[in-house]
Amino acid sequence: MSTDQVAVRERRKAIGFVLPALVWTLCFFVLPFAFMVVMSLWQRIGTKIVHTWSLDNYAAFFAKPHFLQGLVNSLEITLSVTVISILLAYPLAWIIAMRIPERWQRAALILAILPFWTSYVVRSYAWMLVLARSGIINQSLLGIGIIDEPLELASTRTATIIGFVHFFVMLLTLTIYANLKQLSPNYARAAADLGAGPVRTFIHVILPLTIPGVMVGAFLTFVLCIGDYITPQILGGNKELVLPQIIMLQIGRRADLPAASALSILLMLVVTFVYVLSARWLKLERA
Amino acid sequence: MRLLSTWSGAIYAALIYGFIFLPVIVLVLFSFQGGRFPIPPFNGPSLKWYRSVLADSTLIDALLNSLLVALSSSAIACLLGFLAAYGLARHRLPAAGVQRALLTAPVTVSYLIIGLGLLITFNTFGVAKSLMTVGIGHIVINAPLCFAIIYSQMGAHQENIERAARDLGAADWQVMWLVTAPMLMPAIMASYFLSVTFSWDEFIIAFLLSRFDVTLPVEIWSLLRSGLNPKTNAVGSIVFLISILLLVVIELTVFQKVTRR
Amino acid sequence: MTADVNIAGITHRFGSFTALENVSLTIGAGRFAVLLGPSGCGKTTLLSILGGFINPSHGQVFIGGKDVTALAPAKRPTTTMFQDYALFPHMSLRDNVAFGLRMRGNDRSSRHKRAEDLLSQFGLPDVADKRPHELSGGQRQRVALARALAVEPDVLLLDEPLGALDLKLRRQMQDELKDIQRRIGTTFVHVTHDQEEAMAIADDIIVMNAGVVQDIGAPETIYLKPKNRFTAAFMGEANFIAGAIAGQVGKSLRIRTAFGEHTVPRTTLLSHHPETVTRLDICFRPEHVRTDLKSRGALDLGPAQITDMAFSGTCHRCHLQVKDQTVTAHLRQNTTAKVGDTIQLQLDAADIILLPHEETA
Repeated sequence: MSTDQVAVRERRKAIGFVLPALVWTLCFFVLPFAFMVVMSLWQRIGTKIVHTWSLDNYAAFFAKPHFLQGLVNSLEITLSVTVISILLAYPLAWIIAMRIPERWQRAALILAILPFWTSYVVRSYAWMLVLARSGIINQSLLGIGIIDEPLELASTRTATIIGFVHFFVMLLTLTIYANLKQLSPNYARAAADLGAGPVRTFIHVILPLTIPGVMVGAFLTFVLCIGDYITPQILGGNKELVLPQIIMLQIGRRADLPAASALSILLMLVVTFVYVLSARWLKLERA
Repeated sequence: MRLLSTWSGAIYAALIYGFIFLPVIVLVLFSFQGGRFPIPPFNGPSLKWYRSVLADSTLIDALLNSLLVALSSSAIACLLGFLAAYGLARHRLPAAGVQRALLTAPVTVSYLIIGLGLLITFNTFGVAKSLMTVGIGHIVINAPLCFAIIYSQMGAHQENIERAARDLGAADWQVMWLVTAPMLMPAIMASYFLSVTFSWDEFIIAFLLSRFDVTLPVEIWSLLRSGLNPKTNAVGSIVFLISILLLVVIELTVFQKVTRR
Repeated sequence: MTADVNIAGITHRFGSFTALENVSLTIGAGRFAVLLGPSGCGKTTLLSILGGFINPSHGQVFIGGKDVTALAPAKRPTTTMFQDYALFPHMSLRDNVAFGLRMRGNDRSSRHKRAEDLLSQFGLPDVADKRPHELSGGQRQRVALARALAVEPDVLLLDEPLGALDLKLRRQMQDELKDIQRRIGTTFVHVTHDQEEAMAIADDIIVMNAGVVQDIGAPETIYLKPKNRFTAAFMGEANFIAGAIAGQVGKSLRIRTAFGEHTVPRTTLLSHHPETVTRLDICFRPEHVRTDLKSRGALDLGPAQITDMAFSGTCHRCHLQVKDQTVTAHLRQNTTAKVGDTIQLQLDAADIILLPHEETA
């Protein structure tokens, strides 16, 4: 047998390994996406889906103010959540990585992400309990006399943001911790050796070195947050809808799959756009 | 100065840990509520809501459905991921970069969009919504994860070990069964259990693709419509407990081995 | 179990890079052969071709007279001991060593017995139940050796197996390897970039550079009578003095250099014919520098000044300035010479060799 034949046979075998996963991805990911694109170009008229091609569903997004407002709400909430979560998680990750003795770090970290393992739906529900008019926060504040009237916390944008921040503080603590641990302690030692105090060591050495990792976490937060339906649906009180809620409204109550598809594709475009932006930013940061 | 920063650090950590645990504590505490509402004042402890959960066959069915979907879809996701990782890590294939990108692409797309796409596809082909369709959706989201984890663990060092096995006379299937798979068992188990926990907790795809038989998150969702109810707390606490048990299993079986090596 | 290895016209290319260029050589049955060369010289590629892990672009491999070029690694009478040992991390040492026998269908008790026998033969009794990660580097090395030898190959291929060990352990393992090879008589083909290791263990050294075999021979020959400048320089420190043949008198040659005319035996030119060589290099090693010769065989290069000196235990390693040339020399342990001293630089004509001049890059 010649060398070429061996190579061909080896390659055929290798393709056999990858093929099941590829076929699966094509059938249940690529194909559905193609169907969604096609669907977004059709119309729902009455209860029927009419196969005429047009961009009306996309035009509707810009024509109907509540669609556009949904995107604005989504972006505002997602951005606040991302920024607040990073600001809260970074110090915690730093304390766990730098201040807690090595052998307790794993325990501290597991503790910090333990509520991760409550069901996603249940977690939002639990925040509803905490923030309710007669919930634990209002009752405590009333009890010690800081307020006279219960605060309207539940069913607001604030509640949505709190619910999200809770989730992403855990996620970001984990990723930033991993990032900090990857740094050789010699960086900080070298900076101290050369005369930098703890603050300047942090600002000039530790922070710049961890920014790429933080950016990855921030992007992950952005993507998961902007695509989420549950938290705003449970905690947001249906006053200000975000894009996923509007999409679910089209699917559920209105059975308008074409509109839902168009909105989903727009949502994907927003995420892609942010990805391109942040990818470029990351590269600039490294150069 | 040092003392001050230690103290402020400790206070900060305590506050954040408090924030992280507040909802969980409230959830679990009021699952033992004696009264009708999971809000203060607490009058308990009582196990009546747990009894009510265990007596609710709809919830128990949903829990079993969830386990079924999670365990079986993860097994398939893991198998697909492992085979693809093996093919791509051990052989030079044309357009390997494109193949890798395609296989991992689903992780970048929101679950809602994956669910909607599958909904449209199943509608088009007249496939009825069922636990099976939910499982298919969960494989779509978890196979890339399994692939990525296992692929990342397939180093050049192991390639030499496989060569050694082949050199000593092992056939391809023997290399895979006796050497590659056992050697990668920590990565395979980690990806399997991660996949199980993701599937177990997934709501939106399960919501869009199921009809009569539903998974637990979907059932809890409909329970929420009845407002604040200690029964929801009890279910939530049970789910939490099961997840923690799963976590302990992973910790003991998978990571112990990884750190020992 | 042993066999000879015959490599016939092997060429191998990775894309446009030529790793091996028309390599042909024979390794006798039962020999301990070492493929020696700097990294990138093609030695590991050649070993992989012998093991069947790489199919050569051209050429053939014969083992025991049989063409094995197209055979898979498992079908060849060879086993490989890998650089990183490649022990199966999830198996006990017993299962590691018994793996090849298991693949050959031996029953469990016989293969386990053989594995345990081998382990204790290699100085690892009572560890059969351990896992590879519980062992030290030297112990892992022995397990890898036992595993490769358990199936009684005709040829054992060793890919820099001592590279990861510290110096002391490496010396010890060299002795053990050589001892084991003598005992079992299997042909060993060993790859290394360390010339001291090669000399310590080899029956035959094959010096390679840039995909080409530079020299083949016993350690003494390769070191003392290298065939070319590359081998001379690679095998240890060497001094080169440019010269030309001025004439031939009986069994002697007249050589003209910047230091005058010298008479040396014709045999120092090794295999080359005097008529074909115009420019040449006198090659000698630092330990060949003498200061006390009175006999007629001496080559006198004239007065030389010591520019620096360092004591290295067995000798004083120093640099000498002779006219505009720097020479590295080893002076005797008990020498009284100091930096700045001028000494008479001499060579024994029996120690030097003459190499045809090569343009160095």
